[in-house]
Amino acid sequence: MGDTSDAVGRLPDTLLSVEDLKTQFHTREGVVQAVRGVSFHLHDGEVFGLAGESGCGKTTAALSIMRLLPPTAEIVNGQILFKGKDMVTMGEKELRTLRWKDISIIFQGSMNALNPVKNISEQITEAILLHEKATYAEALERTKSLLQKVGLNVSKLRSYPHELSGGMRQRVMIAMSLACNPSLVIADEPVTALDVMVQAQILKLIKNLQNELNLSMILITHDLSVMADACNRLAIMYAGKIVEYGGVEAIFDDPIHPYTALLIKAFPSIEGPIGELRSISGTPPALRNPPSGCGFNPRCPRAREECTKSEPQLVEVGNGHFAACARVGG
Amino acid sequence: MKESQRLLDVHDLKVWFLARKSFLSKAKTFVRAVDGVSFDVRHGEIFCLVGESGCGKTTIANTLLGLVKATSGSATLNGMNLLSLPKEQRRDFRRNTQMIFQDPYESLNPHMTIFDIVAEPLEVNYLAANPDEKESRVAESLKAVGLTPPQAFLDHYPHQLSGGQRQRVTIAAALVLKPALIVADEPVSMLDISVRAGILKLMLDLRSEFNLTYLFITHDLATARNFVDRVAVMYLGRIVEMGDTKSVIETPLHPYTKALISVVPVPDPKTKKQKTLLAGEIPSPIEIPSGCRFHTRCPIARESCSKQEPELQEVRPGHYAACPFVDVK
Repeated sequence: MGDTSDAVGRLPDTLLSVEDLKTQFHTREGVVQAVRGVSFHLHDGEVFGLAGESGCGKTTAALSIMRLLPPTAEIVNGQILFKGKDMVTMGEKELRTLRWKDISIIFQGSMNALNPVKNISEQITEAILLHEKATYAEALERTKSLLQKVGLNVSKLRSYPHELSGGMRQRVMIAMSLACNPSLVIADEPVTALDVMVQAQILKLIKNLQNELNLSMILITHDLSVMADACNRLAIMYAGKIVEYGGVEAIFDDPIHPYTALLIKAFPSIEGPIGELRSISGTPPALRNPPSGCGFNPRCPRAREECTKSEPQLVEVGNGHFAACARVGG
Repeated sequence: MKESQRLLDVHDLKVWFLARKSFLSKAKTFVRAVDGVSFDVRHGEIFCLVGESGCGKTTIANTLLGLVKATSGSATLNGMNLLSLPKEQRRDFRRNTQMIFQDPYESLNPHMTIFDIVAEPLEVNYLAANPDEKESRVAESLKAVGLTPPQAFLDHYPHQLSGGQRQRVTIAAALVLKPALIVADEPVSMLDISVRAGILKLMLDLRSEFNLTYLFITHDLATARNFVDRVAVMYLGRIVEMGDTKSVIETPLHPYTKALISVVPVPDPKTKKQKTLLAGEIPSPIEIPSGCRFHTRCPIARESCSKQEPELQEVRPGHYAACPFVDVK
């Protein structure tokens, strides 16, 4: 993938470029290759989706970018260039200035990500005071305007997380992620635990803020219907690798990789004809011992002999649309 | 409808929980989790309760299974009121209703083997006369849910199985008692998309093989549309709309159902739906709004809506809505 990825539409407005990222976990049972060579580029002001089922490595990829991996994990290969600087080799001190001010993250499960013994205002002002030269009064002012921006009443300023509903807590998380005006926000399953009406409200809020502040976003979710709604470009991950990526319409209209096609077919829709839902037989491989060749070959209905031998590379199949499958010469 | 077609008949069910007593006065406040719900489930159908969290759908399931005590109302299964069974009959009768839980990662005891998990319902009901019979019934049940050959799974522990396989074990444990009604509370929402369809298809196969009836509980309208026969939409402890799935999803009547369907994301980027976003959140079931409980968020509310609580009316054949201002076009 290394050579091709430079040709993979790296434009002058590239904000983040991830090159051949490999991340491993060291466990008692052995090394788990959670991310096995992921490359993508994120342009200014776009929403880029990382989709896939549990265990495909999407969250590990995000945590690698933030350099927030747990102690058992390490980045063993690759570059993460943010505004031209390599975050993989960056020291802890420099990283600390980068987090919040340049890149922030909205974690999965807002109820667990907030501190239960501090009120909302304390948590947001703390972030501002730690990262910027501001007085308490300035930080408080900023906090109030952030709350308004995410549609929360200023009267919630002194509320504790348990006093707020799931939707409100997620709004607080979004306000917090914007506290230091970052240019990139990584959102890991930001609407997954929420009811569909609240989910729609939060997605609309994210979309509005993204337009208003010209944010770049990496949106991580397993839910392809949310992706269809919210993303410009989309990457489908399977077994630690990107198997397909491109413009969101191209992916849904003309999925090239058999996994992408099957995943889209497995999603029930509230519109259109009712087709028979199809499952994908088998289970994702254990990444302690990934299959040889294409990671999807044990489950792939179109697998051929070569699929077990050589690992397909991402090749361009349409304008900015890439897929890693032997059938398209990958 | 003929009496004989009905398997379960729930009438004016109320489940209230005591929230707090005032410190000085004797005033009590209640969480009105289920507040006057009536529906029936016919033999062999998949009936779905759908709604957002806190609407009372899971409380109804728990009440039917005897896990929560009903405040008032009745639930009749095969002519017996489940909610007021004499103690001696309770165990025998409850065998007829079994449950599939939401989270196969938490609902299976990690210290028990698959054999023990599936055999446990037989033991607590004194149904296996001897070890051989127990083993054959467990094996039969595992085979029915597609865990074949059963011998390969009997000695496994839950952590050795995938999420989809675990959910099959849960289904096998429900099936082993040969129930008439299976209550499935979000049976696929914790599973990865690629295995969901397999579990739903299994449930359909078992329905025809064992003559089962399902009460299916979900928040996911898209899954409901593809799987269930009839659907009841709940809001804040009451059913606001009920009817054949196709009729309810494609031509919803109640403004809440309409809004809910409009915001379900569609897995197709070209679909640009007109979304009706409701403002605010579901009110607390402790302080339920007067009149129609949806009027505080309803886009078509009129003054009268805050005064009188609407009842379900049959607007089209078999399609009911609890709103006096439904527009039938």
